Amino acid sequence: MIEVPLHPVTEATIAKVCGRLITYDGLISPLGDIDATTGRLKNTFTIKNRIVAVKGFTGSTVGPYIIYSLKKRGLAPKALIVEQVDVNAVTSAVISDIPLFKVDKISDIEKLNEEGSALVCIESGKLKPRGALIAIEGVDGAGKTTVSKHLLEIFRKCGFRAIYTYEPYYDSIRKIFENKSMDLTPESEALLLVADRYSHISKVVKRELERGGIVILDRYKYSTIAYQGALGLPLEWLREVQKYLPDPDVAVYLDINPVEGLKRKLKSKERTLTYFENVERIEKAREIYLDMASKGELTLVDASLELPIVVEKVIEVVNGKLGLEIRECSS
Amino acid sequence: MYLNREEERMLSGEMGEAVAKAINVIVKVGEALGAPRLIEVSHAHVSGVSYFNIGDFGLEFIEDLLASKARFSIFTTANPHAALLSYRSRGFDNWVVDKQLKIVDALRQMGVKSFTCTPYYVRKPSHGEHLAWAESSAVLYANSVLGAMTNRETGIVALLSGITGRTYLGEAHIGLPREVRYVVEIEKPKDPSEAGAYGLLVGESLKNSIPLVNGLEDYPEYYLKEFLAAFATGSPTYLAVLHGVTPGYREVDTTSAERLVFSKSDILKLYSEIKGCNSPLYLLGCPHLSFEELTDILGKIEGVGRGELWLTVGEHYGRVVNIESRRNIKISPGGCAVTTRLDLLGVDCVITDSAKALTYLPKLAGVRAFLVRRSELLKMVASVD
Repeated sequence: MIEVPLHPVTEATIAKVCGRLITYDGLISPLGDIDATTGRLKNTFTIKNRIVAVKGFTGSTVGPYIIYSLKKRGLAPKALIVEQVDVNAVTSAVISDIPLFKVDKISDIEKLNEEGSALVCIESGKLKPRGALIAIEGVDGAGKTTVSKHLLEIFRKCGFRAIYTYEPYYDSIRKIFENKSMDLTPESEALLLVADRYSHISKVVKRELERGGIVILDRYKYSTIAYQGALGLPLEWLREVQKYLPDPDVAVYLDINPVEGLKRKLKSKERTLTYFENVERIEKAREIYLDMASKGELTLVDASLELPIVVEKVIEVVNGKLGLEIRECSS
Repeated sequence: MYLNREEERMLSGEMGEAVAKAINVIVKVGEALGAPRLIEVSHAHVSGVSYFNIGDFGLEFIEDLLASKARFSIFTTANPHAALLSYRSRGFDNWVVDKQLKIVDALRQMGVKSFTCTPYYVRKPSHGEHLAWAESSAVLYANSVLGAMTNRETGIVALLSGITGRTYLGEAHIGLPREVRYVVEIEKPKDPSEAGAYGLLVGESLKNSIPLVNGLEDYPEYYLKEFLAAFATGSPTYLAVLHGVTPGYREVDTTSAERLVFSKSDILKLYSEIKGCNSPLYLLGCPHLSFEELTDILGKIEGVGRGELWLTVGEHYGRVVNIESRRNIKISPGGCAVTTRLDLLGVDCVITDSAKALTYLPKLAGVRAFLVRRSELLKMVASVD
C-alpha cells in the first residue's frame, strides 16, 4: 500500500477523515481558480467534501475569504494538503475550520491518482488509500451484472479509479460446477465458493483497494449464505467460514420475485438454466436475503422497477454510504 | 507556541467567541511560520477594504465578525476604500456602492479610526513600538523610517490583531538584521516620482532580500514614502535599511555585502511617452498625500482645464480641506483610485507620479497608466485648458 506521511499544520491531532482525493501539482490562487458558487477548481472537479492536495496557495490575500465562503455554503473540502505552507493556506484553513497538512512532495500524493482519483483516508499522520468495496447481491435475474456495469461506467465517467469483478472468480472453480467434475455436497459447494472468494479478495480485490480504487463486486459472501443456506446448511457455519473476509463498504440487495428474475434471464439470451438456477432454491435464497436486509446487513433496492430507476436508487445508496455525490457526472 | 496566561484565556473563550477565533488564527499562522510566541501590539492597520478587492466573500467575513461582537481592542486604522462613495451617479451600480458602504460601516462599527494607506499620518508610531500592519507601503515606512516593528501582515491577520492586540513574533519584531547581503546606491532623486521609480527597480531586483540603501539621506519624508511604497510593490520583504534614516542603520554589517548601483538611466524606461490619452485622469496620492504635500499642491494649482485631477488623502484630511472652488480637482478622502474600477467610470488612462500606482492601475483599475514626475504633472494640469 502506498502511504504518504503528512505533517499536521493546523491541528495537532485529527480524527480520521476520508474522501475522494483531488490533486494538483501547482499553486492555486483561490480568487480566480476556484468558482465560489460551485466549488469547482480550475473548471474541473468540485472540491466539495474532497481531500484536496495542491503544491500551495498563491495570489491575492482575498483567497482565505473565498475558502471561508465555500465552507459556509457547504462547498469546502474535507481536508487540505500543501507542499508549501504559507500565510494564505494557514489562514484559509483556520478561519474555515478545515484541517491542513503539509506533505514533503506533492508528487508522492499525485501517484495515487494516476488511474483516476482515489478514495483515501487521513489517519495517524498518514494519507492512506482506502478504496471502497461495493457488493451487489441478489437472486438470479435481478440485474446485478447490468447494474454493476452501469455503476462502473458512472464511477469512471466521474474520474474515479474503479473496477468490476465477479464471483466465482477462478475458471477452475466455475468449471467444477459447470462440468460436475466432482461430486458436490452442499458443504463442498460452499467451501469451494468460499475458497474462491478468499483468493479473489486477497489477490485481486485487496490490491485494488490498497491503491484507493473502487471495486464493484458482482456477488459476495451474502450469496453463499443465501444460496448454500437454501440447501439447508446452518447459516452460522456459513458465516463462520467467511469471518475473515472484509465487510464491504456498501452491500446492495437487488430484490425481485424469482420467477420474474428467471423469466428475464431466459428472455435475455437463448439459454437454459444453470446449476444454481432452480426456482424452489431461489425462493429460499430470497427469504434469507430478505432476512439479512431486514437486519441491515444489506440495503434492499426494488429490482422490479425500470433499470434507470434501479440504477438511480443504487447510486443513492452508494452516495449515502460513501459520502460521495456521483450523480453530478452520471449524465 | 508559548502563550502567556492572558493569551491562554483569550484562546479558551473567556473573552468571547470572537476573540477566541481571532487569536486561534494568529497562533496557527504563527506556528506555521515558526514563531516562538505572540507579541503585544499597540496599533493594527487592516488591508483588504475595497469592495473591488475582497468582494462579497470579504464583506461576509467582516460582517460575521461584527455579528459575533468583535470589536477592536487597540488603535486600529484601515486601508482606503474604493474611491466611489461620492460617485454614485457616475457609472457605478448602486449595489456596488452599497456593498462598499457596508464594508466601511462594519469596520467603523468595530472601531476603525480612519481609512487611509498612510496610517502614520493618523497616529505616528514611536521607535521600537510593535504594530500589526498589513498595507505593504505602510509596513515598510513603519520599519524603515520610524524604527517601529511590524510583520508584513495579511489583511485578515491584521484585522484579527486589532481584536486581540496580538500578533505572532516574526523576525520584524526582533530588530534590524545584523547584516545585509546587498548595499544599494541610488543616484539622488530630483522628484518624489523618481524616488518611487528607484524603489520599484530595487525591490524587483532584490526579490526577498533586505538591502541597505544609500542616497536617500536628507530628503523630505514623502520621498521616502514613495521609494518604500514602490519597493514593497516589487519585493515581498518587510524592510529596507535606509542609510541616514532608519534608526540603528549604523549597526548593520555590510562588510560582505554585494554593491549594486542604480542611476538615472535605469529609471528612464519607466517614464514612457504618453500616447492616446484624450481625457486623462491625473492622480496624486498613492500612497495618500500628507497634509504638507496636499497644501503644497493646492498652493501651486487653481484648477484643471482638461480631464480631472484626483488627490487621494486620508479620511481625516477630507474634513479640513475645502476645494469646492477648484475646477476639476477632486479630493477623495479615505478613497483609493488604484483599487477602484476606473474603467467603469469611463477613464481609460491615468497619469500619475506614483511608481506603485503605475504597477497596479492596469491590474486592478482596468486602465492604462503613465508615470511622470510630480513637478511635470502639476505643469501639465496647469497648462491644459
